[in-house]
Amino acid sequence: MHNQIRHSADVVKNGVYQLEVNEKQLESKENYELINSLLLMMNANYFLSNQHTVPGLDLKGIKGVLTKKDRLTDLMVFTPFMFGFKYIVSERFVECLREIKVSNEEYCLFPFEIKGAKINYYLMFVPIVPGTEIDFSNSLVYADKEKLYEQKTYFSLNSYEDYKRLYDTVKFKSFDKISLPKSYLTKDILDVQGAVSMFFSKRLINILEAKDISNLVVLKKGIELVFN
Amino acid sequence: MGCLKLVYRQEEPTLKVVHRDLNISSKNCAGLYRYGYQGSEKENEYMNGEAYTTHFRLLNTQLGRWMSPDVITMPWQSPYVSMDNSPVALTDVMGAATDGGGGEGTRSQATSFLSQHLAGKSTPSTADANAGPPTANIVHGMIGVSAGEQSMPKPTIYKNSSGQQVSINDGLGETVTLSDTDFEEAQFFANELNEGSDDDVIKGVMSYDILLAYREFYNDHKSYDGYTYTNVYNMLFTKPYPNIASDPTAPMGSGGPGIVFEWIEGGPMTKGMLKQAMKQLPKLFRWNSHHIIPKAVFKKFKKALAPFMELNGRYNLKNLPTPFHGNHPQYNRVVGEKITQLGLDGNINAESLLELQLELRILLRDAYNSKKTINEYFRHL
Repeated sequence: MHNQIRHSADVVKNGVYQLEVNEKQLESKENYELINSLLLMMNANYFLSNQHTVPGLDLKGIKGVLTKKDRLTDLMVFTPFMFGFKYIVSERFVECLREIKVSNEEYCLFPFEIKGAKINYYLMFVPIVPGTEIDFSNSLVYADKEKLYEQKTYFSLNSYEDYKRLYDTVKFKSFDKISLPKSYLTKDILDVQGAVSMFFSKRLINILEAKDISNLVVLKKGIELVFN
Repeated sequence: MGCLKLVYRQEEPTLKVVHRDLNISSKNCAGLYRYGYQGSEKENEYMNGEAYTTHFRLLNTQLGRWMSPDVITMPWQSPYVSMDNSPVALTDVMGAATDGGGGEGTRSQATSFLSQHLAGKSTPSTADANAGPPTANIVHGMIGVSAGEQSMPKPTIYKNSSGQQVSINDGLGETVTLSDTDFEEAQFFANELNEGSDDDVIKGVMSYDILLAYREFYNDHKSYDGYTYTNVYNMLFTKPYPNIASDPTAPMGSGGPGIVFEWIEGGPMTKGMLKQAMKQLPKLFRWNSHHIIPKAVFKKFKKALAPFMELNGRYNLKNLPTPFHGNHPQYNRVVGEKITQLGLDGNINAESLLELQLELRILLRDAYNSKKTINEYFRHL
């Protein structure tokens, strides 16, 4: 059982980020060209075929500043957008992962320094499950504009190629259900291509809620994740 | 009943007693008098008391213009012109039509228009439209009228995201980009309104309702896009203003006099008036410029978005009223999610971003119609 999670736009004042990564510092890094092409430019195909190299990237010493109106939380969103890096997480969050022994293969942490913060924070990388892994014949996809409809019209898709072809007619679509192979069932953290928000396992959500991790919203009506 | 008791005291001057008993601190009563120009009541909340309220609309005496269009169509002049540009000779106590100058086509004609309008008669009579001053500066569009010797005005071109386009001979010469659904609507109007269309009911005569619907459609997709300075300036003073009226020269049919879609040129304008207008209009309308893809979202995705769009570009700006606008982190979140999805699907390009802007415009319109604030509407998306 997995549920989608996201940050709270009521906590994050501008809705999309509360931390600003020092971009000049990022640009001064020797491997900036690689960081730029792999993470910043939103080139999905390039990223998906090279995401295994991300844990080896030199991202040491990256610093961030909290925006004026925001406060530190356990789950933090930041700018600029970096593929695979949705959140900066606190030591408390990491302790939860360790407590339930989430596999190291599911995430990768890069120490992140926040000006004025007293505890440790980390850039959390979660590999993206490519759309080719999705069983589209057992998934439900609809046009985004029908989001508020009670009765949605689902597209008949059989493969990721069908899904990609949809772009010609429907640019924005959403999933109601995503079907993944059973090999993903045991994963606690899943970030699936096409689903904007990450999936956390029930046991991970339980411990995060028990530890009162801040700025975490568990979506009640998120995408249903099934395993076949 | 809220009345104050005034007590006569022989030993004190009467005015002093009145001042004290009515709690008037000033030395005279002039500041309390609420009525001014042509006997209309001052509206102190607007323009430092330089506005006057009437039954139908608000008058800005600094500009010499009404702040909303005329409730009665006056085909020969801009709907914002006050006192027929003769503020000394004429008055307009109701805000509907001038009186006092004895000019043709003023109160009696306007009253006739209004009474018909209120009685639900949608088609103005030939006589009404014909009663305008002979010097009226009217430019007829091509819709529904044989333009004859007049130069042919440019059509407005409506486009959709897949490159299809349709033109409507309204004389404005604008180019408007629409969503696919709205584009279908534009195709309908093109079929109905363009001269030489298949609709062979009566050439030059068409349904008043369709013309009204087209005006609304045009305003929704063009004028609604912004009470920007440029748009307001154009609407008031330079660009022809769209109007629907009857035309005695149009062919008569069984349905009555011909109806034309015509363009009325803007009124006279001085630099001083323009300066005042630019200052006052945004305050009056309380509409602020809004980024369709907000600044914060653009900043977050700048590397990917900047090659394909401008933050302050034409398609990324929309004016929205302040109470509706407010802070909107939920809207930002939704936009951020949509851009993330485009990125995950490998579809960030100029075309998809334009489509996103159009879709967000539609969502903003729905949000506006829902009577919720932007933030509340997008909370559930």
